[in-house]
Amino acid sequence: MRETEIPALRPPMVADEQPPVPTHAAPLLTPVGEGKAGPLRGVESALASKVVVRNLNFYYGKQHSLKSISLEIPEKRVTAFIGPSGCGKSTLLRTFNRIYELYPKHTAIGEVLIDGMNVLNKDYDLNMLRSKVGMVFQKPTPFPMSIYDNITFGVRLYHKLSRRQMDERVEKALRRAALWDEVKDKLNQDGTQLSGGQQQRLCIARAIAVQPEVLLLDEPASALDPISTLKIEELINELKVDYTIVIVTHNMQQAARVSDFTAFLYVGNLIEMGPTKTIFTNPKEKQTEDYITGRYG
Amino acid sequence: MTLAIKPPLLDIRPSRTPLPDRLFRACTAFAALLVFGSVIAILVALWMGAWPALHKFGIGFLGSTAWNPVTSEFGAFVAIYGTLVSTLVAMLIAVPLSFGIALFITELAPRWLKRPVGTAIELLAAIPSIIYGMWGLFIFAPLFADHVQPWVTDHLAGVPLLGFLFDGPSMGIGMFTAGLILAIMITPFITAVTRDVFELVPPVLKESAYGLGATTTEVVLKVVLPYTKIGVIGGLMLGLGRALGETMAVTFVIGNAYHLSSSLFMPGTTISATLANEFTEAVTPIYTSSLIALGLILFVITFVVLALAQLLILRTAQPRLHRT
Amino acid sequence: MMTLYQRRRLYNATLLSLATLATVFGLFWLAWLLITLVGQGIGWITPTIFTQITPPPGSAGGLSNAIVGSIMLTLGGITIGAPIGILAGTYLAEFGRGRVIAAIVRFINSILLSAPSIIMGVFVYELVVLTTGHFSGWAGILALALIVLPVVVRTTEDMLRLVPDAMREAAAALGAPKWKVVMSVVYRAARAGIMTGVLLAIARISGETAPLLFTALNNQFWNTNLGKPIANLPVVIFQFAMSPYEDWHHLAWAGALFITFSILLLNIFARFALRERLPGL
Repeated sequence: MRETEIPALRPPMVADEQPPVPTHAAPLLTPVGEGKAGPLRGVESALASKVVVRNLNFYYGKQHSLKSISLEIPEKRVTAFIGPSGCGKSTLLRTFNRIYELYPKHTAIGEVLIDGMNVLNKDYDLNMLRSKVGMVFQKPTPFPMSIYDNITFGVRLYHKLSRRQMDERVEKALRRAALWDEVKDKLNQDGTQLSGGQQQRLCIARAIAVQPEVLLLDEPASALDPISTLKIEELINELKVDYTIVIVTHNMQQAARVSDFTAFLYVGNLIEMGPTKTIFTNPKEKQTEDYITGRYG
Repeated sequence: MTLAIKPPLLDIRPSRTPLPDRLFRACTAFAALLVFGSVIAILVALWMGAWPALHKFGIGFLGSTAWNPVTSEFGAFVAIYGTLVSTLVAMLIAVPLSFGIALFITELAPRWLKRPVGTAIELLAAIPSIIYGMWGLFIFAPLFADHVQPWVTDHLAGVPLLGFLFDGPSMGIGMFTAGLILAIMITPFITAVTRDVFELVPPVLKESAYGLGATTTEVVLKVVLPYTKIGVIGGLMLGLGRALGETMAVTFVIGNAYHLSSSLFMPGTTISATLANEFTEAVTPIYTSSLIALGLILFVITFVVLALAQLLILRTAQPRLHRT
Repeated sequence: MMTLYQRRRLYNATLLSLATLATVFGLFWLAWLLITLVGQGIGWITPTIFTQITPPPGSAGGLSNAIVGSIMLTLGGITIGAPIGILAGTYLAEFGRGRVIAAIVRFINSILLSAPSIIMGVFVYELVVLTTGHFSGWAGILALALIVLPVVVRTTEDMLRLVPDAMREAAAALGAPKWKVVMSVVYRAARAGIMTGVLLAIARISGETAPLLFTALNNQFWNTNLGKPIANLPVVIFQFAMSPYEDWHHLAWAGALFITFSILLLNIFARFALRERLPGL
């Protein structure tokens, strides 16, 4: 159990401020405000970028899966990654919390700046990164323990809290995930005994219990029935008030319903990114238009 | 606008894996090393113990049929012969038997029968080998000697090419009995593995074959077996390894005669039976060393058989789909 | 002349009949074995089995020293073999995926698994008995541990591999370090399966005779000192059964019955009571 003070975050950057250069050897750190490209042009003053990806390349062994991706994820909004199977949207998402490092032969080269710091730099503590960037997976994965223990699992990694504080955290997380009313009387029940939709909400509660700033959702509703999917989508809408959310989905309609910004990827390349409304009604690239209108899947 | 010094988002720490992780990994790796080390240690220890005998008798040790503690003349041939023959008899009986039972359980048995029969087979596998030995000696052998062997000898001993196999007095114990008891012992192993592997075949595969009009036998022989080839070979090898090294079931019923005979009804011995019977009574160092040499030979035979099986599996297997 | 179709049907019917016959044949032996075992042994299972020690030929006695000795040897063997086996299996499943070294260890383990148990006895004889100058319970424990080890390695690795990777990723994504992912999440998920493996290993070594023949040897008298030869059921049964004495035969059957049913019960418990907890099985 680690008792570390989770450092507070900097306030969002405004265009002409320079971030302090850290003293350790880090790759080039250019200020976030410079040469802003992509979707935030024209909305600079209102939205800062939480995550900036710069020239990101990804390799599965020899296979070049992401080709020089550069984009920006705005803070406290929902950004969706869409594209046909194998286009790299999940791969891209998984670079944000370096979960790919669990597997050998997966390499990421480039920059992923979260609040201006390149998280791909090996000098950064991986576990701390993951306390700030949470992830929910496609298949609900409740741990084989009680609902209560599932929620506290992550919290316990970083804080030593009293029983009462822990209870509060659990309740807060479960309320936020719209699961509290359904499970408040059976917190000791095994997490695996919940229904699919409930399990996924449990995973969401578990992820937000550690109070991250970014939430990565990798096709969170694709394994669920329509009603549970709807609940999850409503939840996402509520959560974006507090968290920067990035969602990968193969369901275009879901992206249209849920996200504020959308990025379209194809075979490892970023084709287009912009406000969701624009992408779906007036895309700039022909490829995007073809995909949106269903000319290929 | 003033620029406050902003504390970094992330803790900057050296990127070495933390101590508990390294410790955990070291412990598990050490345990794995112990596994590796034990086999090496066994080989080394056996070699060292066998050296005096091997040095004295040379390569002729393998071919010599002598075994005389008094004159200190020892040879491994009779024991090796017994091991191989009893195992052969056992496999000839056990393999068709196991396949038949596995086939029954997976394709023929009605739902309510599958579990009980499967469990019964697994329980057979759990019975200690000494029980088989005792049962073989006290129950089976007398019956065999009184009722079956005379009939077989009378009718088959005269048969031109194979008759010699069934010659000899009806004692009940002997090579054949040992082989039969071994067969009963290893059948549950082979059956259990074969059944498990058969059940792993995706139903769609079998359904496609049935849908084309194939009979049950054809589905099993042409679809299931090829698909499960690897697992089945694994099961066979497991049984084979067990048969080669089995001691207690064999010692009771093989007769323990260091005697080479072409008849299956005559007593003989195997490497493991010889070890079991004579190890604690070996009075001279060369005697003990010869026995250890027998043990070394047995271990090498088993090692080679298993290594061949693994290679075969590697050759024919699909590349293992590890998470990339 | 039969049509192709008729020939196929005949072939099919023949083979299936043979399969059924094989099953009946196999079950027949099992039944015969168990029935004679019970028949021969049940009359001789009396309380004295547990209260008196092994007798010299011609007198009455029991098997108490052998039972206690076996329990001690089995517990010792599992205490040494199981933890090492679980750790090694963990290495293969969690750290060794796709690596050459792990493939080698796995191969070596399968050799150890199928190696003749009498060879373990010879090995430990050379290692311990020759160097210490006498037979002992410790030598027997070591030989049994060598039999437990590969069994537990195999079952642990198999059970750990059954735990889906998604669960490991979920724990890692929360920031848990590897050791915590394995110990708090993966082990918990595979708990029932690993325990089954250990129980099956216990059942296996309880009945092993060969490795004890020249390590723990046997002891006519009451002895709980592992530094000396110690009585144990399998070797006692062996000696008594191979002897010419009637009352020793009776005791051998009683011991055989006792050991068989203990092992069968252990197996049934391991396979059924724990099967409840195995996810998805």
